Amino acid sequence: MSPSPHSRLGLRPLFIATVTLVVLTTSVLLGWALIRDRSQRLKGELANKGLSVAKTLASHAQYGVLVADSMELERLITGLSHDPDLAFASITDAEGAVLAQGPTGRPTPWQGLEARPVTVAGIELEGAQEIEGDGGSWLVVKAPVHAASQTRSKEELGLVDPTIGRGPKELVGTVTLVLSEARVAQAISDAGQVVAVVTAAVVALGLILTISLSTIMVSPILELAAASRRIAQGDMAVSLKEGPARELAELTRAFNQMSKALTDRDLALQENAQALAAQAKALSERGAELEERNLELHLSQEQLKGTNAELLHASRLKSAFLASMSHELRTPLNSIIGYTECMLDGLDGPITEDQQESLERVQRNGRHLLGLIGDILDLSKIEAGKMELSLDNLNVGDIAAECLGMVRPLSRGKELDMGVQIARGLPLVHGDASRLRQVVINLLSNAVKFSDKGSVLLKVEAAQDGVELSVRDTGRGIPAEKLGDIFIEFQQLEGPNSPGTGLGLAITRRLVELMKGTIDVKSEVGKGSTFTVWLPRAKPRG
Amino acid sequence: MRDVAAKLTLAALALLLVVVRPALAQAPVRLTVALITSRSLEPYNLAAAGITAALSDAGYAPVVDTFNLDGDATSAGGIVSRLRQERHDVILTLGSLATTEVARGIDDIPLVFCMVLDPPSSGLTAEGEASGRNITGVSMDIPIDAQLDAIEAVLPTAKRVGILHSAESTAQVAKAEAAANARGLSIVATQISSEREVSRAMTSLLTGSDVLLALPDAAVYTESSTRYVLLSTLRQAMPFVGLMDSFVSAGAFMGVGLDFVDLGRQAGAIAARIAQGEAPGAIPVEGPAATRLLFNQRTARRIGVNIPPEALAAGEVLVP
Repeated sequence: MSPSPHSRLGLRPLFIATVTLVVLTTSVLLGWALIRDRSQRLKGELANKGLSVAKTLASHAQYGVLVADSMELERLITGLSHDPDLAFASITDAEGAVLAQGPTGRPTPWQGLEARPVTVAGIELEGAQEIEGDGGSWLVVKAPVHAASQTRSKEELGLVDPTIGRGPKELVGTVTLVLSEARVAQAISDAGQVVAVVTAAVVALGLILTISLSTIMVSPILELAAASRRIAQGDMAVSLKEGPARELAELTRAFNQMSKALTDRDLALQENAQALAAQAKALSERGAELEERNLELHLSQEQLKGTNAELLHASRLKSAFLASMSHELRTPLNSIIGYTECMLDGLDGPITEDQQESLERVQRNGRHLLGLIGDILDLSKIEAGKMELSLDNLNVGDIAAECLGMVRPLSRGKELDMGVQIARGLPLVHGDASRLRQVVINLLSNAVKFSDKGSVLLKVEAAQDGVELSVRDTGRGIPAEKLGDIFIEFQQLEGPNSPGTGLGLAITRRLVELMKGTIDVKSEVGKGSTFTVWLPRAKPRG
Repeated sequence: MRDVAAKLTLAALALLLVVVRPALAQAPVRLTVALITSRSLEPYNLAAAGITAALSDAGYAPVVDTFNLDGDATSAGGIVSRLRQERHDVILTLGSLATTEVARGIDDIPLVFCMVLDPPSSGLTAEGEASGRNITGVSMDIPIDAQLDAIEAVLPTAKRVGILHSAESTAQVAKAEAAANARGLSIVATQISSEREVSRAMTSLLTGSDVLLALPDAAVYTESSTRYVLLSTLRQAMPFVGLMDSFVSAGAFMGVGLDFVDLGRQAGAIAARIAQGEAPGAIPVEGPAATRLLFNQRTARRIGVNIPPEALAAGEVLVP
């Protein structure tokens, strides 16, 4: 279990505490060392000054001590009273009797207190002692008063320093000075104040710098934390200003890159989601549409069923009508043709050439009309399902050759080669002989009809599971876009004034299909067409 | 510095002599000299140098045997017996101790003394008089007139000249009084019997005189009393005219000093005269030929005396 983030110390208080501790410790130690050193130095200076003053006083007091001149000695002491550090001075003779002391009237609180040696930088100062009491501390310095035992000759007075005696020195007295350390204490106290002020200033400066520094360092971290939290909450568009320090700038940069990458990924995800939603919507729409279409299809299917039934009925009605109409038309037409023929044969008397020509035209058109009616009758029979085939096993080759003979007269007057190729050993096919004949004649007569020169080739050969019969001509050919229409009723390539009824190929196809065969055509404009009929072979009896 | 300069000058002069004498085509005459010093003091060395220089100047090549009593009269006996044996052409003594000791033992070799203060007090002939014996020399007595001249030149308003003395310098005091009276000055002399009376005597002198003049009096000017006198005159702003360089350096306001090399030269010149045949007994004892005026500017400032520029120019400032 790690402690919660809030129970830990923040960086800033940590920095501040550390720096304050370091600065405070350093300052206090330095200050203490400084004050200690200064105190030692000042004490040493005071002691040295005291010793020097004492020696000078001892030198000057020599005469006074020798002659026990207290007045002179007191005068000497008074001469020192301007020294602010001097608390007390005394001059004693060799026996210790006080010859002079002063400055008079000053308190002597150090009396009776124990004195101890003074050490400066570890060295004991000779002739100096220190006294510490409630009223302060004092330095006691002593200097001996020496006098030379010998006098010099008057002659030597001018030759050497007259103030320096000759011969062994003799102790004649002692000079004792008591110096107050008040000024030293004051100086140390002043130094302490300076140290305190400097310490405070350094600590303050340290605090300011630390706070600034920690702000510089902590703020970006907190910003990072806040930004991370925002990202965690889904706000990807977070960009941070780069921190002032290199490392922080690096961190911020990395964070911003991460944030940008997250944003990009988020955007991509959003786009994906949107696309998916759009697709789902489109799918549901398509589903609805499909349902609708389904419904529509269903409806139209129903409708178609109805329509189909209607159409079938109508078609049957039409076929029935046509069959009866054809029959009713053929009877009078046969009468017209018959009587015209009788007239042409001259049975009713002679006729003029003009009359003969007109009668021939009537006969020709009557026969065309009769053919047309026959075709319509066949077609309607087929559509009405009333075409009855007398099925038998047939030799296609024989029938083809027979038909070619029948059609050959049509090519009279045209430069056409009528050829036939009939393979041997052809299988028999199952079909209606007369209807097959009708198919072949129809194809051959079409080939001759639409070919003015070249050739017409009838070919019969064995094919897979049956026999293939083809008629090839070198006629004008059929455009590719019209190939699909030629087997449809009343579709003529040449227009209304062309020979033929437009029913021939439609009837041919229906007949081939009734015999379970197929018909197709290949053609090229200007080169000719080839119609190919396939009929299934007859099943062996038994 | 001055001593060094003097030594250098002497050395240069000696060198000059060595070079010049052969040119004079007169070979230096060898002269054996005994030099007896009372003790080791720099002034004696200077005087010795002066002596040798003067002898060389006079055309002699002095061969000097040096003896030093080191202030001890008991060692004089041995030196005297050696002097008797060696029989130098001339004996020179420096200081009264050496002079009196040698003079007592030698009466047949010419003796020239130097650096002797108050020759009569040592049983010698006074200045300006000839001994009629084997002894003559140069005294170290500073002429009282030179001292009074200095006082008049530097302190024109000072009329009362205080003198602290003991019985041993009564003669000097009398001489001073005579000289002072001739100039319209008065001498305020206070005689004491020992240094212990100095402070008392000084109390009256400090108020009763304008300037204090030191006499060479060993009973008055002891180590401690000299300090006292210097201190009290300084304290009372009393001009103190001390003895020679030593007093001025120690703190006296001014002083009249001597040139010890010159003193030596004076003695050397006398020795040369004796070598040339003059009888020492016929040569009168000489006093110092020249004096030096010495100042302590620090003391002058302390006691508030402005030294006149012409006096300052004529003198030497020992303590600036």
